Amino acid sequence: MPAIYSVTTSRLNVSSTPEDYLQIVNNSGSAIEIIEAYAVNNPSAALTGQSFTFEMYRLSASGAGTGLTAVPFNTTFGSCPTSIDIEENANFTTSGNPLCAGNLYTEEGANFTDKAQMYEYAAQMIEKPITLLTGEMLGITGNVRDIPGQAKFYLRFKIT
Amino acid sequence: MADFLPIGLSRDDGGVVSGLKEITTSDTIPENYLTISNTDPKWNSSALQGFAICDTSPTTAGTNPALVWNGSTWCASVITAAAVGGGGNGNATAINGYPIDATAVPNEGEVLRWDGSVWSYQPTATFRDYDATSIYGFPIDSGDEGPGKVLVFDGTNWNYEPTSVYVTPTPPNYNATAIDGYSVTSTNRDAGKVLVFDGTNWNYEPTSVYVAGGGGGVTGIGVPGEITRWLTTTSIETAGFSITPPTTDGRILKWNNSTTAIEDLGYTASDAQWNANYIQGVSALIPTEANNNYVLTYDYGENKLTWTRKLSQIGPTPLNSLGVPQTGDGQTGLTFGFTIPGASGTSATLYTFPTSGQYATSSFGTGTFFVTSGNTIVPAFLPDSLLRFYGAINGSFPTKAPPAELLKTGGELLYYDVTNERYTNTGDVKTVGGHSLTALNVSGTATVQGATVSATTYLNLPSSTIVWASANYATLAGSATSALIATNATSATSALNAQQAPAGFNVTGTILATTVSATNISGTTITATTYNGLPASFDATSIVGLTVNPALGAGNDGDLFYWDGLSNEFSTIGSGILLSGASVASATLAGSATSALNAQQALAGFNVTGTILATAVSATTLSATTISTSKYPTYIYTATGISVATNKLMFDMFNGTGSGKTLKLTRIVAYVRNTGNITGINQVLECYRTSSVGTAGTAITAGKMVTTDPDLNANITARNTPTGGAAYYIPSGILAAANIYTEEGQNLQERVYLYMYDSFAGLEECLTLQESEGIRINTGAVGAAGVIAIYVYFITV
Repeated sequence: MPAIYSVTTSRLNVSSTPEDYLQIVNNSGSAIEIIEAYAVNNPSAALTGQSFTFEMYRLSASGAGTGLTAVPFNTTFGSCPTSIDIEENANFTTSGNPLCAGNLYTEEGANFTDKAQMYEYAAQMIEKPITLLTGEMLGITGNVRDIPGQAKFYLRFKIT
Repeated sequence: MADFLPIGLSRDDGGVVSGLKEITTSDTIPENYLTISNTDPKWNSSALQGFAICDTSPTTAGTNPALVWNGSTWCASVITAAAVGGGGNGNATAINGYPIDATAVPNEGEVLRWDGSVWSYQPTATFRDYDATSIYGFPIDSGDEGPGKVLVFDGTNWNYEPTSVYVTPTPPNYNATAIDGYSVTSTNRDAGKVLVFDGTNWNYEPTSVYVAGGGGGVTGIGVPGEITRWLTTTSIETAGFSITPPTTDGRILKWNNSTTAIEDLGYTASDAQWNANYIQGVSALIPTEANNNYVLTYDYGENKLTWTRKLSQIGPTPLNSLGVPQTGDGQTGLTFGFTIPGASGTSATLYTFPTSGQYATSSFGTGTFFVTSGNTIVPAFLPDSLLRFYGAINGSFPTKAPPAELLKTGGELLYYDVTNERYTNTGDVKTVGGHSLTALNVSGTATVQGATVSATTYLNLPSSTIVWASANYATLAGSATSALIATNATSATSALNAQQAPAGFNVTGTILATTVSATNISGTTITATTYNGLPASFDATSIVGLTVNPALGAGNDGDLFYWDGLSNEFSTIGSGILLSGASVASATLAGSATSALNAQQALAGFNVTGTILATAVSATTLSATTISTSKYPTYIYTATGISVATNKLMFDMFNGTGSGKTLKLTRIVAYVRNTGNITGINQVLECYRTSSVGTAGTAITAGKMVTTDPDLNANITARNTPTGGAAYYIPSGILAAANIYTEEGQNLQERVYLYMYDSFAGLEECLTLQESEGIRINTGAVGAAGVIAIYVYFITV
């Protein structure tokens, strides 16, 4: 039975080092389908913010960061397999063009009330989601420009 | 300035001064005149032998100067080490320009020796150290040095060779490696061997006279040129084979070919076991015979030797000392070792043979029998073939001989051939008295009858003639047409199995079979223990000629039996509904079904608790906990780093002719991707359909949502900022659009969607690109700042 999990990073500086926010490596033997990915502004202090870009790539090499624990959307799913490695602040290596991207404004005083959407599995009747076969990995990075502020990054996925 | 000439007094031959004379270089001036002149202050030469002398006072040159030739003039100069090419203390570092080893300190008695690169200090050479590598220019061959060797010149080199006069201190060490100039081979040097010259070398070989272990010398055994030797007390070796002498007197030796050895047979000539099994190829197993006057004879029929009563003598003369009978007509007094059958006593008279006619001795053939007639022995003439009769024979004795050649096949019987009035053999037989008949083939035009009839093959058996007592097992083949088996038995108690009856057969009784295999079986009643593994109730693999799904197992309550048109077979519907190829809309079924339906028409709708697997489902209302559909390969074109400018073609993608695919776009998204802080602008992005592919720009490689999906056809392409092509499709119109603000300082919180396919509504058709169609995204007329990216999700169908 497919199981759905969500994982969230801690509050991360959106720029400077490191800029590789979230990394997921699938060695579970099953495919992982990405359902949704987004970022939420979460500053630790008032600041004059800016809009920054974050993008999702497939990875050619994973990095070593801080491990994260995904939580199930139904407790009957059980824990996310340890063979699916999810880490934040890992210094990974991207491959190819972005699979999706988003913009986030980092100032607490800005007039917005929405999360910064990056990916949503939309046309589900006909379209395939971003899929990680076993042995594949992807990451969310923001390495375009140096921006002040902090944010958390979210990923919801299904293990088929 | 006045010109002065050197003047001297000239003398005549008598030594008398005769006048003044200018002194020239050809004149000889007495030395004392020069000595006197050297003290003259005017004696101040400006050159030596024509080479100029520096006009410099020696006092200015330093202490103890000397005239030094500097290459052009003689000048007063203090002599230094540099001036003479060595140390100031006479410590030269080179000789004639070649360096002296500065690392070593000379020891007493050492000399400088040039080693090719440096002058080095070396001990004074002694005779022992003198290590000549040549003599008179001819090289000495090193490597063969040894005690007692001398150098021998071979015309080119000096070689170390053994001296013929070298003698080591003690005789045992005399170690010649050659005799008379021929090498002695050092291998195989064992005790007792002798040196044998083979024309080239002296080799150690066994001696034929060597005796060891108490044995005696053995010679003359083997083949010429080989040496026979006595190795041990138990074997003789020659030419590669050994002889194992028996340990008992009188034993017979035998040859063992597998071990190439002569071995003890184990018997002596007097042993009872010394008993030849064959004599000239004939079995010599002789039965026991305790009576006298028996002789061994050869029984041709049995091909063996046997005991035969001995004829004591034939003719007037007994057998001679060699056992050869003395022959002659009319011999009397033939004495036998037994009583002559039909006669009296053991004596008989040989019939007197005429000189002509049937009984003439000249007419006797080889193998002629002699029989007794009274006390007379007469010759007996037999037919060509010998016949034996046991018991009484009805009728006359055969007057004709049997066939010249009788086939002698095992199991054949001899019978009397009335027509030909002779006995002959036959394959046709008749059994009587309840005897069994076993034959490969049995055929008859009348009746074949037996208590038990069994055969591998039954051929040409008229049904009316077969009386089956019991049919155990039969394989029917050949020309059976219809009623091959007409049995009068009520049943066959065993089996008719694996029958081959091309035209089939009728059975009026009952076939009791474990297994029946046939193309068609028809009968009033057909019962079987097992029908090819199908349920005992009824297990047809086909109905009215149509296949039944062979995988069907035990059914469940509520299962429906239906015709599966796609699989072309009857099957059942269990927990799921298989709608492959069927359309619910075309089904006819009233009411509802709670379990399974196929190709049904449910006017009032139906509930499905299982799973519907269908290529297409069409319904006014369709509800389910889970609806899954076929997903298509999904791709993304991402164009990053596009600088925003006015009226700019930012992006195009194109589905070229021949791609074989239709592209269905599900999302067109743009997001800001500045690389620095800017003062942004609000720019419009508009999407149009195109009818030609864009040119130039930067080609974009598509990404895959699932990496195992196929690569895009090469005719499907996309470009970042193409500079040409991408012609507007006619009629032209904006398919999708959005605004994007490019300044980082604004409240830009989200990427912007130009287009998004709402699949859940189910009412929309995707933005679709047929072959030869594409899209392009343009900016508007105002605003040129910032960098953005555009990506497009699409599927291929």
